Amino acid sequence: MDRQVIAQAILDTLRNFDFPDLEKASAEFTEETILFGREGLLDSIALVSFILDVEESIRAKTGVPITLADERAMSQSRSPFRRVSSLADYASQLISEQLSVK
Amino acid sequence: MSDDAINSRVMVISGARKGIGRFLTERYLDAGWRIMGCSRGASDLEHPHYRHVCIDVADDSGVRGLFANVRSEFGRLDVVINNAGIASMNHSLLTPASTVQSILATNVMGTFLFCREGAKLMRGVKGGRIVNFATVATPLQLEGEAIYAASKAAVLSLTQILAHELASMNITVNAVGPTPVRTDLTRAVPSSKMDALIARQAVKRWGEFEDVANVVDFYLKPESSFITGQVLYLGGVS
Ligand SMILES: NC(=O)c1ccc[n+]([C@@H]2O[C@H](COP(=O)([O-])OP(=O)(O)OC[C@H]3O[C@@H](n4cnc5c(N)ncnc54)[C@H](OP(=O)(O)O)[C@@H]3O)[C@@H](O)[C@H]2O)c1
Repeated sequence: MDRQVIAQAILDTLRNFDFPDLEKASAEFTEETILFGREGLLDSIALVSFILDVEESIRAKTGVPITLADERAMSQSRSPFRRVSSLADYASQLISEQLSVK
Repeated sequence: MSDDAINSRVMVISGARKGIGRFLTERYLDAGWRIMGCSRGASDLEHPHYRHVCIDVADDSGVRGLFANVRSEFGRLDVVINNAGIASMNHSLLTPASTVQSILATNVMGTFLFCREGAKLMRGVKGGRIVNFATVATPLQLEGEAIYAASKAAVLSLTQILAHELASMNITVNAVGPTPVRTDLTRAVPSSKMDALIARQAVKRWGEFEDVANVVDFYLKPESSFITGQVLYLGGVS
């Protein structure tokens, strides 16, 4: 699966995300955008909704159902939810694993 | 609410093949809901607005598949009724581990998976309602029902905490706690035990299907958007 498609899906999700804080909503988003953690766009509640939106968008675009917030993601020393780029890497990895078991 | 709004609403009911779940399914179909029901066995219920899926509620991939079907067939979800449940009456010292495992799987894991997958579909502006099934066996601390009562105590904790976690998504999570109702679940229990149990209720009679439906109706009312994390026991048990 093309990583670029996944990164685009994440950026689209971010652009359509319902931020309670309007200033954040109008920001420019790139792969370097910090999602979560220090100076991140999302607090922990917003992160839950965001992850569900990304899962949904990836499922719609690729037909592959993935679970982003699994135990592996939670136990990594560098959180895959830190930036758009790290999330795109992680999601692409999950998708290729999922496709290879089929 | 207009008839049209009710017509388009969609409900998932677990354990819809028989008992209380079957009664609720027929009742809400009559009221115009579209319903996706499930149980391990096949259902003989036929209705243009009813779909039945044969899954075990504790099977993660089966549950995901059911909600994927809801998404593709109905395109929306408004209510999840977590009715599927099993019980087993036995002294703790005579209870095999396999019984404990299957009660926890159906009652706790099943309820959890339906809450999780249902909430994913319901979150958003419109929101949704989740109704879980508790039992008076928990507050009455019924001897012989340790595992069943404990499993439903877990359902209560889930109900209360999910109410907090899902409130920002406009989803309410509540539970109904029936007294004994005549179904296959209670058929095997000796009548002397049942009489003794009913004697501990404030209102000393068997529960009827309608008594349970009345509480579910209440949780589903649009006016109940401020009611969440609650359990309502029937028969005056508290
Ligand atoms: N009746 C009472 O006195 C009473 C009192 C308090 C609380 N409750 C609660 O009310 C709920 C309904 O009970 P009921 O009396 O109607 O029971 P019931 O007549 O035995 O029906 C149970 C339903 O759940 C389904 N089911 C059971 N295990 C399942 C599983 N692992 N996966 C999918 N479906 C499953 C059954 O179908 P299959 O066998 O085909 O799977 C059936 O449709 C339960 O949660 C129960 O704990 C009942």
